[in-house]
Amino acid sequence: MTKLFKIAVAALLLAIPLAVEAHTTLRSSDPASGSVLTQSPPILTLTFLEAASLTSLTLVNTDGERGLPFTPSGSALTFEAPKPEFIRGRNEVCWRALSRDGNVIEGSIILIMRAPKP
Amino acid sequence: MFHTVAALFKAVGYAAALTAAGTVMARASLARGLPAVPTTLGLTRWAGVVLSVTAWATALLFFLRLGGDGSSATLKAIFLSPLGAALGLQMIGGLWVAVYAKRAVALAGALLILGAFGVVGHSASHGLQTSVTVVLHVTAAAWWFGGLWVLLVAGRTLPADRFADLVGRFSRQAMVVVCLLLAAALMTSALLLEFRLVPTLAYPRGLLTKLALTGGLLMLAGINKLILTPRLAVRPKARVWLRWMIAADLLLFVGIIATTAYVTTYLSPHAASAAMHTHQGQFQVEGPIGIADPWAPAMPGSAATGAGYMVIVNNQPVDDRLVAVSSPWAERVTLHASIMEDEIARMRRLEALPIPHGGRVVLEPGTFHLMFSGLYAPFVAGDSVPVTLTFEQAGRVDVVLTVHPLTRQRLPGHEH
Repeated sequence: MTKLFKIAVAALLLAIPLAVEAHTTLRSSDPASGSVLTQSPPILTLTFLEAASLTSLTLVNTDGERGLPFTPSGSALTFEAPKPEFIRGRNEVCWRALSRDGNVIEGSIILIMRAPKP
Repeated sequence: MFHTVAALFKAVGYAAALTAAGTVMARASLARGLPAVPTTLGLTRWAGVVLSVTAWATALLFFLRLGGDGSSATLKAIFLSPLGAALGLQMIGGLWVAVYAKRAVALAGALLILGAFGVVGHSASHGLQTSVTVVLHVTAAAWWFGGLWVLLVAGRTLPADRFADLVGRFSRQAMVVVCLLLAAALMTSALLLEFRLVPTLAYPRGLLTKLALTGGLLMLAGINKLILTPRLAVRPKARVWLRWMIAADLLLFVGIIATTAYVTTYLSPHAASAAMHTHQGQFQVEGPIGIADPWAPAMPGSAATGAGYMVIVNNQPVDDRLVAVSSPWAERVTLHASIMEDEIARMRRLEALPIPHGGRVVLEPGTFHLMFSGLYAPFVAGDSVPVTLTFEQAGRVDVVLTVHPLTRQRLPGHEH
């Protein structure tokens, strides 16, 4: 009986899927992901497809990792992070939220800063 | 990893919820006038406690996953939300049922547990209609599950004729409950899928799996009702067979619970529309020029150069040439060919890349590539790099390169 149980558990573990299908996700951001900017924007705006509660926003670049404050706290379609202060090169903003239907959703947007052309 | 644990908690929670609420309801409906219905007291109490603990554990899991630094945003998101309300209902309902398992007032706890299913989830957030139909569906499922447990216990303790009476009563009540279950399931599925069944999508397939397993349940129930139950009072062996069948029913039910936990954690009914917002990268551009599988390898460290590859297909009736490439991510993008000079691999800059009419050119390591110099940010796996190709005949074509990890060298399925 225990051997059968072990086989069943092994089969179950093998069946564990690794990818998650999209629940609600980010509709757009301003500036849009993949943009190349010459100066850091005054506000970073994230807009979701459906209402969600943003819980964490982290900026990752060559300076390291930094949490970005944002408003509002609670459930909304749009969130704003004032003065993200991006630096030269690659800036990745990783976001995590709880969607209204109770799923954890996450993703990241990439913003590139370069020197202004003379 | 998180999703695996979340799905596991969900499965355990579903089983505990159905057992706690179900045994309370089934006992109440089966015991009327039949004084010797055995109590499933131990099972009900344990189920209530497990449900409560699972609800707490789920809250903790979500808190850790959402960035558990105790920030007000995370706490607010969990507790002042449909998710928090549902977990609260299950926590309280589970404890209530465990404490009052013996008494009729336990039904109030069952109501709280079942109500939680209408508060959060795909069905709940779709609207009031789906909230109601899904709660009806879960209520029916709980009664069925709980009833099977009651029968399993009764099969061991009751004398043969009393057991036969109980099974008969269960069978009659089950017919009504199963109809309600199926009707509510059909209604909820139809509303969630917006009356469009696309069997290639994973979510509808998950629902069809549940339907198939339910069919198995009904088949076993049919055998129980038509073959085994009439024989109960006559052949002692029938009783043993019936208990095995009920155990098999419970196992099938567990399969349905597991499928539901998987579907509600990993899949979503709006996968079709959400997919429109993500890049597939298979055939990016169709028309006079077709671009297939545009990709770039991730560059280590902070390299300011990068390469790009793709397949360019010329669907026009005339020959064409790729004459210029640009990208907002780099100062300059140029075309290069790889050549072997005296057994040494070299690059030669190309002014243009000809593509014959109806033909194709493959840019891959060893043949041709785009070279990015003065990159404003190095390529990291997962990035989407916008590129504009300028053709002599076809004009400007926009493409997005997907950056793959360094280990990938060949295009998948691209054999020579």
